[in-house]
Amino acid sequence: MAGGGGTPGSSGTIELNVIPLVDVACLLIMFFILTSQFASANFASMELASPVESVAQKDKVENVPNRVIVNIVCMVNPQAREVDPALSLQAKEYSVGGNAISLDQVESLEGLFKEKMAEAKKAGHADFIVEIRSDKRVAFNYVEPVMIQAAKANVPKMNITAMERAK
Amino acid sequence: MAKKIKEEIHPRKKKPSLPPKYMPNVTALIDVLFLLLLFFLLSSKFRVEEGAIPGTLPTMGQSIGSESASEMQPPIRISVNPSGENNDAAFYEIQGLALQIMDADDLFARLSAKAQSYSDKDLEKVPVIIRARGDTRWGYVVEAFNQAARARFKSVAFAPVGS
Repeated sequence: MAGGGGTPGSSGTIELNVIPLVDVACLLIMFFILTSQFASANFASMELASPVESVAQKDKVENVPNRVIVNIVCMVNPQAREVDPALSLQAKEYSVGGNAISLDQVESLEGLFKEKMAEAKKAGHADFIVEIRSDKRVAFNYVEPVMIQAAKANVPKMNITAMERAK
Repeated sequence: MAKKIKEEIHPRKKKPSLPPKYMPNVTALIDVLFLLLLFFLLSSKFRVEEGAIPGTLPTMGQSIGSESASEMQPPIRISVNPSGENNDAAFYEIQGLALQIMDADDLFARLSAKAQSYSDKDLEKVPVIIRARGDTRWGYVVEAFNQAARARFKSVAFAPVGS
């Protein structure tokens, strides 16, 4: 075995085989690079609603692909230090799967939901869910159109994203 | 002399020469790899636990309970209205109760009291309709939805703005 313990009669130095260590380190780096890309696509950064004694459950979150998450992004970044309260009522855009949809194009969501529903049905999924994931500061005026488009597309189920109850 | 004779009888075998080992210096590589790993570990944000509150959507042109109107109980209507500077707060009103509810726990208590007058089976037929003003912050609307679900109501929906 290459790099094994010192052969008999050698000077007695022990050589460590670092090849597996390098392999594992490279794999870990690849993992972090790839997961950070995939995770951010569907989950825009925002302040989620945290209801009192929340009944939100992680188990209720169905797996892709029979789920479409619509992110309603606030005009003000959650990490912003100085927040204009009036500005925080406004939504900036809708985001679905990393694709930004402007506020005046909300009606295109109906077609998108129908398309995804057809794909889910083709893949054999009985259910299809639209998940509304909105910043808690945004006015209801911006969330309601998404619900209307989902109702127009005859989406049977809707989930509302909220923080789980603090344990 | 004896040694020479011994070597003639048993010539010393030359050890086959091994190919030279080339071991690149991987110390620098490992250093860089660990620095990269440390960077990604420190810069990655771990998302807090999110859950989902399940709901249903009425089909367009169909009001709540229209399919089996005879089976559905009269709806419980909750109004959510903004208050405070820049609509930073909100208050809740339950139809039939002439008071403004400021607290989520108080809202739950009143909804629970209403739920107790129905059996578990009948609760599925009691629609709760949340009517929120358009400029109410979403967090308060979710709060109303959450408290209705917490009070064991199964059919919770939203009324269109301005209805």
